Amino acid sequence: MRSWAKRRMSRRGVIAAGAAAAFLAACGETQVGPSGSADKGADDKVSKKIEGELSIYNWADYVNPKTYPMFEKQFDVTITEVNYASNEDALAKLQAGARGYDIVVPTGYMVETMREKDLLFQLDHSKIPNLRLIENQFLDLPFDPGNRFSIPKDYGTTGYGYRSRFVKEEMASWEDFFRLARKYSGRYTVLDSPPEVVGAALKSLGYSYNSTDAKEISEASDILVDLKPHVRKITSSMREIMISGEVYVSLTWNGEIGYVALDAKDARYVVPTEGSEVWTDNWAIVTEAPNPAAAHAFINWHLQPKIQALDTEYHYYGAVVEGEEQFLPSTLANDPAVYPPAKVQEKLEVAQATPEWLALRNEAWTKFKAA
Amino acid sequence: MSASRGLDRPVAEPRSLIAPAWGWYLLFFLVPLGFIVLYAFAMNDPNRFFVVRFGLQTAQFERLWDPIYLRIYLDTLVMALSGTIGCLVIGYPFAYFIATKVRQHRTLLLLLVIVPFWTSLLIRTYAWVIILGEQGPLSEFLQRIRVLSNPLNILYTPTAVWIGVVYDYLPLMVFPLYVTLERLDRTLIEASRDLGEGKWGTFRRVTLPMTLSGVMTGCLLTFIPMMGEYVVPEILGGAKSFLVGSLVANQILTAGDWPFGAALAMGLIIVLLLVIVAYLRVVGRRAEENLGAAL
Repeated sequence: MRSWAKRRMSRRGVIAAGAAAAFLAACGETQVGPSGSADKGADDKVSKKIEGELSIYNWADYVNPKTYPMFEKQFDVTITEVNYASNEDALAKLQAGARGYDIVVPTGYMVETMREKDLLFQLDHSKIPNLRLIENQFLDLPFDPGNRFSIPKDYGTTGYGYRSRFVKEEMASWEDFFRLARKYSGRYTVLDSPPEVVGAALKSLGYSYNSTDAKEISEASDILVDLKPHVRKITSSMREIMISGEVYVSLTWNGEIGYVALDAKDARYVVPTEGSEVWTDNWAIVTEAPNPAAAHAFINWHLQPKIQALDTEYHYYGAVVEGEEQFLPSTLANDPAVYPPAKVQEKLEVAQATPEWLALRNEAWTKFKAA
Repeated sequence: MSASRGLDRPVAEPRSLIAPAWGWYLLFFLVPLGFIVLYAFAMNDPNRFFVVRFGLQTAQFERLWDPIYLRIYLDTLVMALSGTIGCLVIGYPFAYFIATKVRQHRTLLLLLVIVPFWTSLLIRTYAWVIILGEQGPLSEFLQRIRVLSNPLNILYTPTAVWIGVVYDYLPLMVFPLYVTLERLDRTLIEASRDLGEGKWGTFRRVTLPMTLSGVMTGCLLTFIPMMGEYVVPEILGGAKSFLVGSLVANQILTAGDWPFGAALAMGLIIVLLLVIVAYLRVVGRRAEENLGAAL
């Protein structure tokens, strides 16, 4: 998901270009081949011959641009991508009757919401055989039991990054994050997203990321009000100002710091010792998708370890399938910021959003913003 | 024959002339306004995500009285008032200059006031991010001439927001002021001076009172959009300060709470209606011609 700032040319483009040729060569094989098996009858839209156009409604910069042409070449499908800035933005547009999109990429709780509003197509698992490659921990999550409407795309954590050139202390915990704000006042950013920021304050107090206890939330909002004067900007696109050194510390997702580190080698990403959030973003097909056959084929195709690796190399979020490490440079495959070690993983929580959960976080957020 | 009848009768019924305007307002103003009212009296289902239960609840309006929201209204009011004053202080001398001192290039100068509208507000606002930035040209210049010893640090502060809104709405202040100043009967000023009043006294007791309706109109035209301002605080304020516009957007886009967003918007509309009523009281009948001339 997650940054909607337009990507500027970076070294990443160069790295991926070299790799792409090798991947292209390897691509024809494996379990993907064009799905010709029409076991459900010719009129079934899902089993239709895969061709035509595929429209993907996605977060910006969330798929390696090398991958689309590979798919297009293999399946004779033309892909167009349209971007949105937040889950709610996508929901509002789909609800308002936006037509023509095949695939959308909601975060967990939004899968549930979209499904309730009949915006999602029930997936035909027989068309997604690569489902079996997905690691168990990412399947059958509470927001979509049995993965009937969504397939995990990638995963990441919420933590913070800092520029060790400017920050002299070694930062490791949420406690460090909030304590050092006074010293590096005006050099902080936080995500423009209530659950992550309120969740960080909750974890720093030793509470659950998913607390719905009014007293705990109120303590968390006090911490945020104290943090406020030291925050330079509330934004989910902090890459440029962190690279330029205008900002030293950013509460954000791991992939964002991965991007910053391309240009600012001293950028470090921290999954705080108190624990934090782990999230997955998901592929889903829109109810009125014009081309569900191609949509299924694309989702299945994207679940190949080497394609997942190509994406990870691009956006620095972890792949959800097994065996992608062999396609990654070892520095990336062993990067604890992308693949947290087991000891850290134990402390990560999946957001369990309910309407009450969300309302409490928005109230705390309002206090933070108005402070 | 037909020609003479044409002169006797109106070319078309006034009602049909006004129909497009009515249709437009009905569709794009009254209907959306109706939806705002409808939503403001509704509630989000507490157990399901973003499911609105319509009805006649007043719960949203009770929430408005929470001190935190009152404070956001107050902050917005302070920003809009100070922005309006900024526009007036810069705009009045400028309008006065064009209306009274410039002879040849008056149209050109007025045209220059409109030039910024040729570019999108969003782009112009982002341009200010560069200008006001720590490493931006203004900061470098002020350090070079030794006005500042450290980089300029106003981006993402209320000061930057203030600069942004004053910049954006200045033309809306200049035009009504220009109209009243240009129409001002110059002989009255001469009379005042002849009768022994000084420059400042003449301004205070003759010019200003006679252009007061223009001042009020300009203030109204700048104050109202500033109260609902969203773009400038988000971009130049670093999304840090919560003004009513951002709060409404946040309720709808992030919190998914359309009913409360609608109630907040209604609160804003009510505040603005009060301001407009006060304006009409002060300026009275001249309001109509002033607004007409300015727009």
